[in-house]
Amino acid sequence: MSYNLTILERMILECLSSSSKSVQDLQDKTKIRKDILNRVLESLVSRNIVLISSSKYSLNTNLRADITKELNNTTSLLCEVNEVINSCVRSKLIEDNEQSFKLKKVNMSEREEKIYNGLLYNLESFLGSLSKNDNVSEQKIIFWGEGRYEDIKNSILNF
Amino acid sequence: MSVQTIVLKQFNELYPHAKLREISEKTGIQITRVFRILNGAEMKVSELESFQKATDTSKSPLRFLKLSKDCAMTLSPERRKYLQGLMEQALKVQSFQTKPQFKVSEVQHEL
Repeated sequence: MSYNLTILERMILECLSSSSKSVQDLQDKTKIRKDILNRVLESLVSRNIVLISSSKYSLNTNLRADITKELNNTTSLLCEVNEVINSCVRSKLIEDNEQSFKLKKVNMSEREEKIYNGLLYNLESFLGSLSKNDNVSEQKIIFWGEGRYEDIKNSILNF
Repeated sequence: MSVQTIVLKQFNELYPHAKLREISEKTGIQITRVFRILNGAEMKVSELESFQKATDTSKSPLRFLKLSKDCAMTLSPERRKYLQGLMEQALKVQSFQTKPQFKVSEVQHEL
């Protein structure tokens, strides 16, 4: 049984992380179409990741350790991040959405790198101060980071 | 080698045993015209484009199967696992929507 979760499944799990919810609550919070939502829930329940009681769905907090490990293993996370970034890149390239993805290749002097690290620190502090609720469809997914061109090249060659 | 010869060669490599009727169906060119083209008549630009379009296999399920096989034979286990994970996820999202992207018969026909 595969525990490599899709974005739809993760969205529902994140929504259930604070409290148990009915299908209607989940639909309101995730904005996933009802027929799709029912199938995703069915898939999660069949693998015992989500439990159902009195028409309310909740996270199974007593999952076996090996399943929890598989839910968060490298492949699952790589696939999830890949789907998120791919979606933003598609939005940028196909729909020309300026905000969805930005990438720059630059050379920085020592001084410029210090300025960059300062700005990054401010960004991380700001994002860290923000709160999160279970209205997951309204959440913004923000990603940042950088890599040395050579390291990226080597990582691709050695993958 | 002329563009026409290259395009016809590509088409022939992809569909080596295609009959006149099948070529006509794939290109949308009349069967009598296909016969003349295969016997050396010069193609119009629109006909050339039709043949090129018919040989564009980038979206073909068969191309996908061949590529998957090549990946399975040559890529590292880590990269295979990653691609497998992506394929599993895509399949699962599709199954939640219960809308097949292509008919099984289409793949069988091409195989």
